[in-house]
Amino acid sequence: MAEIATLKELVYRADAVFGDEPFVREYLHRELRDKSFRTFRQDCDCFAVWVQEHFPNGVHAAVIGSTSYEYLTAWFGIQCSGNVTVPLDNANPAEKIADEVNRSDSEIVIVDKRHEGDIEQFRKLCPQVKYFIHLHEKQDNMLCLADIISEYSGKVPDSSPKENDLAAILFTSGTTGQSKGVMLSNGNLIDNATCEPDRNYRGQKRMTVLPIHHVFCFTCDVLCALWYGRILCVNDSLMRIPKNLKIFQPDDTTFVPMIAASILSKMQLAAEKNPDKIAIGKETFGENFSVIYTGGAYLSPEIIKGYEEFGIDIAQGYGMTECSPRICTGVKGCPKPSSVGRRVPGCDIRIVDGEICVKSRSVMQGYYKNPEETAKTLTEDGWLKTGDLGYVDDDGYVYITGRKKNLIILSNGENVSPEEIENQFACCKPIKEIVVYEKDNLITAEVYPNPDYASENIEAEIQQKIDDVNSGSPPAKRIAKLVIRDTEFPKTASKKIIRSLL
Amino acid sequence: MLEKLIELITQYIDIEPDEIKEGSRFMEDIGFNSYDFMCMLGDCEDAFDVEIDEAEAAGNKTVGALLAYLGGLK
Repeated sequence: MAEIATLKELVYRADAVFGDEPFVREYLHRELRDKSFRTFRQDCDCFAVWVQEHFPNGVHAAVIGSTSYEYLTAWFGIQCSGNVTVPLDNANPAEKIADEVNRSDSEIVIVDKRHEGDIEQFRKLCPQVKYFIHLHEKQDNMLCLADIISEYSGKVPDSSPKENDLAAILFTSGTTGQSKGVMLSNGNLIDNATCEPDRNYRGQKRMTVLPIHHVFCFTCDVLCALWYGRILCVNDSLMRIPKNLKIFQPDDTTFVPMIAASILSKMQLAAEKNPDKIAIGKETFGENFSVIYTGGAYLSPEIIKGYEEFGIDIAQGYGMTECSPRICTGVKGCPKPSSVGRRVPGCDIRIVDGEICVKSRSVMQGYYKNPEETAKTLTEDGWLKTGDLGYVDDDGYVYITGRKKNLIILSNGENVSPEEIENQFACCKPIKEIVVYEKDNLITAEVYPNPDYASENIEAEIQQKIDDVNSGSPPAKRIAKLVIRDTEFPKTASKKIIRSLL
Repeated sequence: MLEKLIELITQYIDIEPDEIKEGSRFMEDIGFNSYDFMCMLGDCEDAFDVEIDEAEAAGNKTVGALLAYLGGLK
């Protein structure tokens, strides 16, 4: 159990324990820039005092940007003032951001370059917002974070947030309907970041790649770096992942499976010219590299095996925003690669009608101003209904078989999980993407063929693969119809296919 | 410049260099997916010694358009 209960205490503890050691490392204009745990705490304090002075009765503040030292300073400065941070998806259009600013009752909006041109639109759409702040630059129509920090230099906030105080509202991107604001308390986030046994991570480098508004990135990269004293190396753009791996030489990183699969394909292409796969692995990930952690989508065992050949471990975990997010963590060299690992300490799992339900101190307080959805998701005795179908084996490993809401119920009463069928095509080279659904009471597979796959008759090859999978499946789970599409499937910002649009 | 860009492309896509023309489209003709295309842009920064704006560069849909964009940064 952690000796701290709030995010403010986490920042203060990091300063006390790790002091001048580097916390955030960035590669800016071709130079490395480090910011220490101490500087971070000091800068957070400055911004916190400004927030307290301007909102003595409390405030919700929306932060919209890509990962940077300044972004984190704003995020945690709000925490150090005892208020609520609302991290929004930077990739969303201005109208969607404005809607979430309004639905979260935010009165401060903090942006970076990407949305600096939308401020006048935000002013019209969000009349309750009192201050707009730019994370990096001086602008005529808003404040600049650096100016605030400079003006309040040396000041210390007198806030004292509590464990059960709301810390953040995070909107789930949602593949159906309107996004929901997940309310996470200080205690929720601290529990999830500190639930694993102490590990000797101090001074090790974690490269952070995933979008920072996503709680998987926030907890596993940022909070864990503050807790363990790690160096957080900021990958500033998806296009620079390969280059930044070489520059930062990290010990580990977190990916979504799509990124892991793409990098594996590139290494496999290089291996056609150079058979020394271990050397290619080291060339790609650096000498220090140990393990890739993934989450957010299914990682096929073939990808795990593919990475093994290059000397790289890849571990799959499982979680959701509503659980801050970790429910299970994968481990290096997991003996059961088709599982999502074992539950994290302090997290209870039970299976109810095939659905995974979770109870832990990491489980959210509810959805912001949405008691109906909260009641559907949280039971009265505190169990979170994940919406995922799965099971736990005798050794405690958890397996996910699909999403409850995607379950296909055929007229003959058979229940079929589309993901269970789709996963069997995870490493089928002619198929880039596949979605299985029910149409006219038939199990239908819609496929986007792999444009890299050179073949005269790719459609026939895909049909052949489907026939092969069908022959090994029970009749109720066989694909009856194939539809070929010529574009990728529509996806959310976190690259999940939006099934409701099909 | 074209030869250097073609060399970068062939590190991502299994394609013969002489199949790549200035008019070739990255996604439809060469077969890039969106993530690999982004990574290839990152490689261009080093190969051509320029600093690329992700949003601007991603708008270049053909080999010729990307070459013109990179040339303009020099």
